[in-house]
Amino acid sequence: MDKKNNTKEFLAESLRLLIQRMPFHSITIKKICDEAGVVRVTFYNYFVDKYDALDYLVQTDLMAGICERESDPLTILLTHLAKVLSEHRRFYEISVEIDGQNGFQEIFIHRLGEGIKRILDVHRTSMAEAPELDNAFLAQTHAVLIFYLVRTWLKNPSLKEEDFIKYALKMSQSSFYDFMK
Amino acid sequence: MNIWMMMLPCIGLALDDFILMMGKGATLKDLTTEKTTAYAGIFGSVNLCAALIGYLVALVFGGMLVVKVNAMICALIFLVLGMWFVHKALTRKGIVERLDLNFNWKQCVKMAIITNITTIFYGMANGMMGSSLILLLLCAYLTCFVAVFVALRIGYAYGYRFGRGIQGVGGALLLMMALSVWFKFLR
Repeated sequence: MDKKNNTKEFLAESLRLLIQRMPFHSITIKKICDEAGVVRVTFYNYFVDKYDALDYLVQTDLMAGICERESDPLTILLTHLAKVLSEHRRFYEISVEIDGQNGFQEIFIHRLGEGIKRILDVHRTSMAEAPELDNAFLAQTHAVLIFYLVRTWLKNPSLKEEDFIKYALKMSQSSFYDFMK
Repeated sequence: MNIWMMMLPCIGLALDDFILMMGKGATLKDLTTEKTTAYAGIFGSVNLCAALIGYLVALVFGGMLVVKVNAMICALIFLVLGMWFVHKALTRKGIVERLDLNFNWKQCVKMAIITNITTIFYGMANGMMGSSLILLLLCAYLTCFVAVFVALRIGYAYGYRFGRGIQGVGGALLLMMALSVWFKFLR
């Protein structure tokens, strides 16, 4: 089982390296496998296509920051997100431009939304205030907001990690009207 | 027509199958030699049937025409097919390498029928020129079988590559054939 997980990791990390070296559209499964040192067919034991591998990378990067049982899970998540984005800045700077069906935006928002929903499922104790706004809806909306902040941060190297966390928390805790004051 | 005049356009047409199945090989998992042989056999058989249909159509209608007209139609068929293949080469895009778990012999038959419709015209061209039916069917089956077998293995091991170039070569062979018929029978 360890060997299988390692191969999957190798393949995903190979994709991460290749994305930083060449355009995404020119990355083939053969190139990913050559980089990982496995035969081409091995890829299909773990992923359906390169978008699936990209999805796995994003999911793995984000999931370590989801601690829904902690008292302040959102701060933990945002802090972890900032750390991951800093650590793999070049990868995310390029990936954020991958568009089309199963583009990066869709993958990122989906996975981040999943994580936020887990937090809401534990911490949202009452639906009475807005029953139509279920946890899935709130999570996706919030994930879209954070994605746009991530994209802005990646395009603006002068913004620091602490600024990203501060602005992300501010947007999570404030209403639109708070910004109009 | 001699054997080379029969083989060249056959190879040209088989290259279309080659590109298609190279792309399919790139999306398959667990492609055993048995499966490869079966899929290549299906393509070869469909190609053989298409060539036979075309030949029989030519026997019925071509017999009403004089030799020069037959040669003109034959050259025209190869010219149109060649231009069509060159057009496909110029407009061809890459494939999406995504695992296909649903591919089976039924899908293979469908793909073979769609791709090998052009072989009907090849069969017609040969029928009009009075080529040997046995040789025609042998060419049609063997070139397609070999092309598909090799393509599947290459796609499976290395992925989809050089589709445009290969399609262009196929088109060029057919255009050469059109010229060859023109010079041999019509000049």
